[in-house]
Amino acid sequence: MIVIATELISVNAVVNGRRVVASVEARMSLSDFLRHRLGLTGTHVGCEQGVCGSCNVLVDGVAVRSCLLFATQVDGRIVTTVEGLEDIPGLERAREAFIAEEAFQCGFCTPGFLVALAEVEFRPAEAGVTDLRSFLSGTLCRCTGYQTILKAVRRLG
Amino acid sequence: MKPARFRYVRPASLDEAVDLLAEHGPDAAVLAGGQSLVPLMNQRLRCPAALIDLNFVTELNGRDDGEASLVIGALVRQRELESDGALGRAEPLLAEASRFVGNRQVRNRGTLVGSLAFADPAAEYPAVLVALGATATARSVRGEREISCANVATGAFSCSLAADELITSVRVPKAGARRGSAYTEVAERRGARALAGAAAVVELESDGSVSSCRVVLVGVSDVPLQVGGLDRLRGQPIPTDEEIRELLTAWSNEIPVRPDRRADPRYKRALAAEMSIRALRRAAGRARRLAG
Repeated sequence: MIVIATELISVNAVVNGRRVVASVEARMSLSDFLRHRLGLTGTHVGCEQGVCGSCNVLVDGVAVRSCLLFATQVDGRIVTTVEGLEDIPGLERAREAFIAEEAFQCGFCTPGFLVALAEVEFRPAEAGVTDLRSFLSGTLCRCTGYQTILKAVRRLG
Repeated sequence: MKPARFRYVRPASLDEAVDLLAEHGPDAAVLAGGQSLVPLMNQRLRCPAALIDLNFVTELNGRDDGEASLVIGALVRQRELESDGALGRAEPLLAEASRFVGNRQVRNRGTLVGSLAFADPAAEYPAVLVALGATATARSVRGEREISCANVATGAFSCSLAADELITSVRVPKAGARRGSAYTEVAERRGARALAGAAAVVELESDGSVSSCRVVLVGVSDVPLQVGGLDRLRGQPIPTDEEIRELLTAWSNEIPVRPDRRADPRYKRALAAEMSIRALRRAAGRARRLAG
């Protein structure tokens, strides 16, 4: 069956374990939906071009740019934002590693890095990631604090 | 910035999708991974009247890793092609090139077929598909046709598909026992647009002589640029490094290069030669090892 929307379209998804049913404009990005409609402002919006990675979220466990998805595209899916990472094993270790290495200055990019790491349950090496720099290259730190972020992520194993 | 308003259309089958494309034609944009399209929409560089979202068309999710060829559907994500992805072992050249494509989150969503149809001159996959001799299947209400991937791009960001057509899959012929391949690239940063890259595929005869050899450049011309003059290698032993260098340096002096504010034409030609040389040498070496 063809779904056509000129004005509003429904979205029915699970966000951070909570069922969400809403009516949105088709052009509303997932990042705007999360921030403006659900109040989940931990998902940051840097560039809206898919470059910076601050808006990374998990959709069905896969890390994607929420600024490049329309909210309606997560209909029937499970979305996890940085606020919902508590349920993913390893978050506490990642937090400790980031704090120990001072892997943030302004913190704007931190949700993006944490969500990227959440995709591999905060254990990139175990998940088969052989090149950490390449893995982390999808998220930009505007303070350019990459060395400390890399050090923190190396601690995770 | 936010995209302009559009009519969102979500077909549930391929037949519905091509019907919609026939109806909306040139005013429509087709959405698969959206990793190139949506940034353009967000910047309002593209304002399609209708957006046809293919993501719920399960027929396009197909993949078939057969004996003769590898078929990859329009919704198969680039991430699957990486060496540790679901299709990572199916075609080593796709896996090797994937390391240079965007970043993991983009590859989680972006598709191989979308990259082919988008025809970005700096994109890795279109050149890799040309080097592999792959074909694309295009579908419209008028029927289905096969296009050589070498004939998909007609210029920078333009392709030979009609307004009512979409690519449903690509078919990559399987490597023979003595085929080696390699991809190499130079960019300013990891995942940034290629200044120049090269995909090479070398096939050997049982006696170790070259049976076929193809090198295709990324980011040099408006379309994937096949290195010329390699036919003369056929039937010959694998050329030495010096011979490769001589052949490709001479060729690169003649090629048209695309204007690039990051690299003047002289530098671009030098990069084109160097990338070709490296890719060809590595591919030939791998073919030789496989031939044992």
